[in-house]
Amino acid sequence: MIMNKIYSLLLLFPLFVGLCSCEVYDSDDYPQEPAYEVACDSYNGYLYEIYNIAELSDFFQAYQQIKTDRVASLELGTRYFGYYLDDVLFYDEVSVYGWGDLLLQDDGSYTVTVYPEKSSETEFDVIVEPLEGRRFSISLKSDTYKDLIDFEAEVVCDDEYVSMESCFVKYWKDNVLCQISGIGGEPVKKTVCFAGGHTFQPEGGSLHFSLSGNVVDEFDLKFADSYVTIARDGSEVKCREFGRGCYSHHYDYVID
Amino acid sequence: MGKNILCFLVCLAGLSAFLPSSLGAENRSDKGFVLKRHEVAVSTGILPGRYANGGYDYYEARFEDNSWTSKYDKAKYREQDYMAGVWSLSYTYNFTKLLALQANVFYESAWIKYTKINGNVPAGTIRDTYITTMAAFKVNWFNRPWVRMYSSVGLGTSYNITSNDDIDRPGSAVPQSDILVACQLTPFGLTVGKAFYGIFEIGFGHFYSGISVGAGYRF
Repeated sequence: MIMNKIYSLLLLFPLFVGLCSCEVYDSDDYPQEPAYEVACDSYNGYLYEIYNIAELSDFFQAYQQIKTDRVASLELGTRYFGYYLDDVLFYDEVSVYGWGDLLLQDDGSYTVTVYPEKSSETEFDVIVEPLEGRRFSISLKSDTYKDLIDFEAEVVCDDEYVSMESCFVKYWKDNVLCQISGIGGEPVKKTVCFAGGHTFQPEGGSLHFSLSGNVVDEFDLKFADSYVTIARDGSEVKCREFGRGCYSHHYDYVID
Repeated sequence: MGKNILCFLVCLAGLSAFLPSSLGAENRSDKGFVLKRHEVAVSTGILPGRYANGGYDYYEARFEDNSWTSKYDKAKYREQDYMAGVWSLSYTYNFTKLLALQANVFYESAWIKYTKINGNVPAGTIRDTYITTMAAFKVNWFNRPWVRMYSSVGLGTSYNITSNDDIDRPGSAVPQSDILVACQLTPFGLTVGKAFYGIFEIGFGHFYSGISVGAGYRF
């Protein structure tokens, strides 16, 4: 009698386990958009540095006018970069953690070294040419970083935004050649640090991505209506709201 | 110093009030408690032990290199993750009302099913399963007709079977197995009932980490 009960338990056990299994994740519940992860990698690695370089250059240009007044200079630096600014400000160079190192050249241009992953492995150097007003031209210093082929941008700073009026970034990653270019229309603009916050992503504008090599794809990365959006072939996927970081985990997706 | 000794004595008094039956004589009745030698039980745990202690081996095995190529490849497939949880069958022999030895068999399994989005075609399954046998030493430190409380510690081995289909080749998996050490610590366990009883435990290990519930039969 007892043994029968034990046998019954043994026989029912696999059935019971099967009935109790449940689905814990279904990719259909989330829009699958690998382009978003490409966009995040590119933004973290390179595009965001354009804003850093612009802010450093804009500060340095203003600083050159008042550099003999050390108190005013430090106040200006603190306005731009808050507590990230080193206490020591040299006449011909400035170094700000998170932004990069700027060095004044004899011809009036600046050489800026940036560290996208805050390590020496991915640092690269650009040359910044001050144009009229608070406009700057950024171009890659040759032979600076093997995977980065091109890095050019023209930016305009004001007291509220850095606006990327044009940009062209070309680099290799995972045997994929990624080319990013600006799209005409609204510039891709981001709030500057000293305007009241250190926001991470732009508030408006679009960039075009072209991938070739192991992956072939074309899409636009849009910053609009408080969303980061991937647009392709007439369809759009809202990937995440502004202000939620730029990480590539699936739970960052927002169902359109 | 004197205050510490007083505190120790108070604690000891409290403990002795809490554990009187367990430390008493073997044949003394604990307010009607009658010892039955055999118990069989079925139980489950939250979280399943292997999941809680390192997760499953298969995870993202297909697209593990995190490259852009893998991300684009992954987007071509629908991924559905399933968990069967962890389930245990156990037999307990009560040597005395205080001491018992338990033999357990646990089953824990989880799998991912891939379906090619273009055409809705099955593209393979990857699975991670653990079958564990464990011997546990159990101390029933509170015994009443309807309620028993205990602590236990167990040690055993897990037979781990992983099977990963190649992508777009369902059924192509060659199962691989491994033997792993398994242990379980249960500081607090509670059973309520007489012949048929319910189980509630709090513990940590390769059966479960958190709580366990189940049902059993004494004879």
